[in-house]
Amino acid sequence: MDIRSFFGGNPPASSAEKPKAKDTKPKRGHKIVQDEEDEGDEDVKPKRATPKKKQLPETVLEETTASDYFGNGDRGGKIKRSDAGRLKTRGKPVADETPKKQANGGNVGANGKSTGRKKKDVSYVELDAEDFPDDNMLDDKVVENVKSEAMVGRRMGDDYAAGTDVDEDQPLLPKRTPRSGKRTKPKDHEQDDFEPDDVDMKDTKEDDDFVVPDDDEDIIANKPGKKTPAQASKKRKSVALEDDDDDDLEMEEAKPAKKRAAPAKKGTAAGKAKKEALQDSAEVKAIFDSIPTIQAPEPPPKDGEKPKFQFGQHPSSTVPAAAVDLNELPQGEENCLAGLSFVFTGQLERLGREQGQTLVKQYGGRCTGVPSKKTSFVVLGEDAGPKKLETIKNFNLKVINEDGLFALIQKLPANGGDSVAAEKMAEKREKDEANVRKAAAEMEKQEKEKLAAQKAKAAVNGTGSKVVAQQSKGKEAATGPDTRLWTVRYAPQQLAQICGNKGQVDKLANWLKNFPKNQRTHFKLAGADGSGVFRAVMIHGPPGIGKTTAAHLVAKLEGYDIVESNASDTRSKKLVESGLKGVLSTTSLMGYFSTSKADGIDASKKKLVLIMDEVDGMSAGDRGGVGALAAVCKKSQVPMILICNDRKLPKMKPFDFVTFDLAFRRPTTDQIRSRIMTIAFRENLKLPPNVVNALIEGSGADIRQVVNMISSAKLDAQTMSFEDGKDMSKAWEKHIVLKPWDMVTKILGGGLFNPASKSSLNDKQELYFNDHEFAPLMLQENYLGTNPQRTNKYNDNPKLKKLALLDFVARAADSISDGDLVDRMIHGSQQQWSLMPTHAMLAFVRPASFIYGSLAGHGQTRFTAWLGKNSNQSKLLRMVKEVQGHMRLRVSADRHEIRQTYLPILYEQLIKRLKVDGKEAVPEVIELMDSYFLTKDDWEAIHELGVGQADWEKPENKIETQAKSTFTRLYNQQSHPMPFMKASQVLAPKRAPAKERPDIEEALEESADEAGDAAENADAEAKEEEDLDLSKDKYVKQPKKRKAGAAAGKSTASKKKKTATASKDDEEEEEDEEEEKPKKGKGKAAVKSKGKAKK
Amino acid sequence: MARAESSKDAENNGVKAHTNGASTNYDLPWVEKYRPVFLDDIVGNTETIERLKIIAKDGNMPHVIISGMPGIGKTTSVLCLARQLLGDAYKEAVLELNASDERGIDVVRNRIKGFAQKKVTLPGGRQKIVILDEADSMTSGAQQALRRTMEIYSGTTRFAFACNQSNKIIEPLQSRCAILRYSRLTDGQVVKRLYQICKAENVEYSDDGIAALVFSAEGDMRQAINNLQSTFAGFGFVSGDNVFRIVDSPHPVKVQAMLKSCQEQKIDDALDSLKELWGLGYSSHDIITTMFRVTKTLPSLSEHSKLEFVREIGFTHMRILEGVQTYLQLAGCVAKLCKLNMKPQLFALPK
Repeated sequence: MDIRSFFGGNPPASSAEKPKAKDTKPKRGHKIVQDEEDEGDEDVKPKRATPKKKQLPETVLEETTASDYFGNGDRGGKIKRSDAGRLKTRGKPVADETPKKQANGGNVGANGKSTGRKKKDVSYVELDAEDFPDDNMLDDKVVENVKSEAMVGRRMGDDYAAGTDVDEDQPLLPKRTPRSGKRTKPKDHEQDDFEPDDVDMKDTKEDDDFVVPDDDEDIIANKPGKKTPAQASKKRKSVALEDDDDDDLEMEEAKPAKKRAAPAKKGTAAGKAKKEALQDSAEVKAIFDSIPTIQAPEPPPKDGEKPKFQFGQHPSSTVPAAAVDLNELPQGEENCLAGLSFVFTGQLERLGREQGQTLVKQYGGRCTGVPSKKTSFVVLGEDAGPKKLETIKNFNLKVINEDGLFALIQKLPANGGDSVAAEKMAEKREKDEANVRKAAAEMEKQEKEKLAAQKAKAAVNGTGSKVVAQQSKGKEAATGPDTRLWTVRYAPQQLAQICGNKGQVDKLANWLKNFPKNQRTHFKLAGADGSGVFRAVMIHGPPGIGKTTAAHLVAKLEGYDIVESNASDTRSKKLVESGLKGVLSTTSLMGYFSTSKADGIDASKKKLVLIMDEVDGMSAGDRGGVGALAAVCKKSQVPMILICNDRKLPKMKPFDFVTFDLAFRRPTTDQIRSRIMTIAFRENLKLPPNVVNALIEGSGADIRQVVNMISSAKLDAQTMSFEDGKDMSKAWEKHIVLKPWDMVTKILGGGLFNPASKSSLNDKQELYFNDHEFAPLMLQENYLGTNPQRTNKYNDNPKLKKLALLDFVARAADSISDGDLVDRMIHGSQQQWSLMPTHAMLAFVRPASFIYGSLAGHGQTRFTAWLGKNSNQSKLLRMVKEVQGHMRLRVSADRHEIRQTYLPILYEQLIKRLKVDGKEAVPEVIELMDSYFLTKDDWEAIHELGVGQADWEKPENKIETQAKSTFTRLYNQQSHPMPFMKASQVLAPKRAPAKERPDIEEALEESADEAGDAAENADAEAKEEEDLDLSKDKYVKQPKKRKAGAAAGKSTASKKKKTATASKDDEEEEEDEEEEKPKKGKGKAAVKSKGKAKK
Repeated sequence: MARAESSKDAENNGVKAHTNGASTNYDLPWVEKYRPVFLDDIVGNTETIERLKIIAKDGNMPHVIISGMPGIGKTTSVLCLARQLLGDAYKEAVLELNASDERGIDVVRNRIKGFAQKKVTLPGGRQKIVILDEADSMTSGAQQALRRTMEIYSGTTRFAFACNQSNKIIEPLQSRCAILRYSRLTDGQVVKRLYQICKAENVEYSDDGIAALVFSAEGDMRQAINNLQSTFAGFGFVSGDNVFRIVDSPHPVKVQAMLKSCQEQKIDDALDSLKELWGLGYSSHDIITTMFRVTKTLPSLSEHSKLEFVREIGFTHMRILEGVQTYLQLAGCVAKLCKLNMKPQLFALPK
């Protein structure tokens, strides 16, 4: 990976080419002044850069400040942008620029091949500026970017972000980073991107590639001086920012696919424009020429509809109907596409996009998502994105269809022949191999040294030499055939060997290094990265990316002695409190007793670090452990490193603001590859890089699993082919239970219903069984959020398309309701579970079969609203029931009649009166209520039950506080007739909170509660009780003494039961209170005993 | 080549019953009696088994998860592997826990961790093995507790999980293990084994009987052998009819034929097949369930029609469950299925 190529890497290339273009065709003659200046700048750049390239020492690189770096990165990005994008962004701020733009458009047309298209182009460009609102345009691209970007993560079906270092800030969602957020970015980049890169380089020690990035750096270092005030103007800046955004994404996308070809691209980038034609041998050139290119269609004519273009409507990522069989794919020489980069766009006739990309990768080619100057070939299908078509035309790229691709594969010689690209590639590859060899040698050396050290130690210990010698002998014997697992054997020994997450690891190391200092300042000073105030660090990220390894390694290197506690230890509240107390106030004996000479343990190793692994694994037996741990984190005098997978879990909430969060991301393929290659080399396993890539991508960048994979592959083979790798990663794919969101995304947007898709009906049914409760609900919630693929055939007729859409939606809805009938049988009184498969089909698979299609453009997958609505409905139902119950003495209507006929009138009389007439109406309202035996609660229920005009949420239906308070006051003053009162109703308000409380606490308050804010909690409790008592008092204070008494009797009984279970001292307390205020005591007793029992 | 070898081994070795020295093998279910003792005897999944054999030879077994359908040799291969790896030390160096044992988080923390810490003298390259059968029924808490245990004691202890659904194993554990997915046994593999057992047990059989056994087992070796034993015990002769009498479910081939005629709108043929099935005495519930199952995998139907079929069948299923278990319901269902593929105009009344 090379981040430099990211910002700096491109400018020279593009600028080298651009001036040329400018010379021959003055295509930007009509630029506004600012732009002209830009161009001038660009012109100068390459000239300056090239000579300095070799002169400046490497150190410039380190000196470059982040702001400089990024200031220019922006520009680099800008330059790289296609003309259309440029026109667009420029055209926007200046509204009256249209005529100019048109002229521009004309030039662009001239620049392109055919003049016959001129007319169209004009309209195109013109509309381009207006009809493509930023978002739309970017969406198209971004969605795609994100798609391929997140491929690694997506495959896993989880929500971990794919860990390119660069997208640290970028949300995975197809959303543009807010511009304000942009400002903070440089810093992050400095920490996360820049450094890792550096370390990478160091890692591989001598890397001749340095030359290339260097010149980029130089440009960057030189450029700030050139910034004229005019350029720094506000407008310019905003454009730059925007562009940067865009470019970022573009490049990011290219990155995962970059593979070992990346440096080649870099290398050629500068020279390509000038030399390519010269260097490609005639033979290869002939082949290239012989490839049947096709004419890229015109960018579609823009009409009013154009902005509606959405990536999602294009099933490009899916497999086409007439997909070729995998075995029919052409066979070519190994690596024949080396050094070439491809862009797939549109839907190919016979090749799914993924298939095509696999094919290209298999033969060593490179796939990017967005065409650029450096794209060797564009594989074009139907319905290509207009933006891409435009780029193709602007850069005059070679366009082929799948026939062309097949021809390429068949014709090109192995390793790409002697074309420039291929040569660069081969060079790079050799270098890679050399590095791998070197790393392996180093590793070996290390091991030898270790062994030697052991021997030496044995020799030193004269007395025990025999024993030790024996031991070491035994060890040697053991190391002969090393019996350790590969994951252990090749666990990183140095920080540099940790793949990816360099920035985070460095942060961790820094924090640990500064811990004693921070301890002296009592954790008051935040420090540069804000870690100074924390006594604990929380590392979180998906499994297998080296979290535990990093924690251990860092601690070891910083000279700490490690105390580890993981999920295999009991970690309940009590044990955490008592157990950790022992640890936290002690020093390590290892350092204390060591003489710091012979055994290599230095005396400084008195320091302890506590590593709590798998914090989210605290479960059933570890009640209260999380809260206790969080409390310990607050006052620990020992550095603590906590590790978990999922930081977002509600049970991890106590750690908010207590720990310094370090998110570990999945490393990129490139970051892992060299390590894997080194291991494979050491084990004499022949692994071509593309196979390694396939393995890494297949496992979702789980390093441990890849190591496991090659370890078991080594068992019976010395080499591994691309197909083997693919198969293996398929077989090793980690199966996890899908979350409701993923289920619905998969069934609707996953292309499962495509005719060529291999998934059977049973596979789809399996999806339902991932979570059979949620699957239908989620589908029902989201089934309107697709662009059904089946309506795509009416794309040219919007009206028909709408009709078709309506038809499909109706059929889906039909099926969902059918499914509900089945559900009634399953979850109703009959419990016919044998109908589950039927339910799966009717409520999940069948509706999806109608409306499957891309989910793009409809926002996020929503969580089912049914649950909330359902509980709301039952609440309202209960209210109606209650009202009806009270009115029963006067009214013979049933529930529905009350709801339909009485309530609207009562609303007029009770609520509306109060609203219109204010407090004058209060006595009458109360009188009316009493005549129907309605209580104050009923009054509120009636208010809430209003629909339509009377919807109580409408602001105009809110009742003035004054009137309301008068009403409340008056109502409370008087006594009211009560028809009857069920005992359950008396108890209800008391019981309910008592029951609910533990639930709430468990989720959220438990921690706080256990974190030691007992006092605070007690206050809250007391308050709540007060509230409770009031409400109850009101109710019980009704004139009907008899009822109150009965109720009291009942509740005392229940109270007795409860207090019996409560602890002794509680009971005493309660008893005391009871004497004073018998009624209040009840509520308290229930609440308290519950609360206490929980603890 | 490796493949052929494995099968051959299985053929050669499988003939003799591994009775554990007991002569009273009459009592033993054949499944246990003929359970393979060596990896060589295991049928199917040859590639994976080959790898296990290499592990058994060289030692240094990685953590493994074996997942797959029931009756395809998951537990057997783990046991064989352990036996071959550890030989005489098997008793003390293997901890086997299955769903019948308590495997809560406490057991993991105490028993398994204790076992992992235990010192057992083993030859080089051999480690203690913890076998967790039916691991998908372990709670996620217990699985969490295994994570670091697996790593910290990996020098001395290796874990083997067997499960039906690997998605019930938490991701971190999957990341630590070599995941071996066993596929269903092919009919050929099951047949071969059945022939061996028939020979060893002197079972008289007809070829269609074996075919029926294989068909009904759907790649589940255990079920095939159990059915073989039951058929033999019940009738003394393994023929197709006898097998289906034992297996007692409507013959899927017949149901398939019926659905095919529905698809081709031959209602008479379809009703005839239904009548035949009904005449064999199957309950409407059995018939409709089989129809549902067969429809889902009927190759000649397009997915869309499958879903339409499934809908009709589902509704009939509901009616049957509601208590209307009559022939009429099934006939109605079949008629509706026929109608699905016919032109609606045919059913419009002439005006």
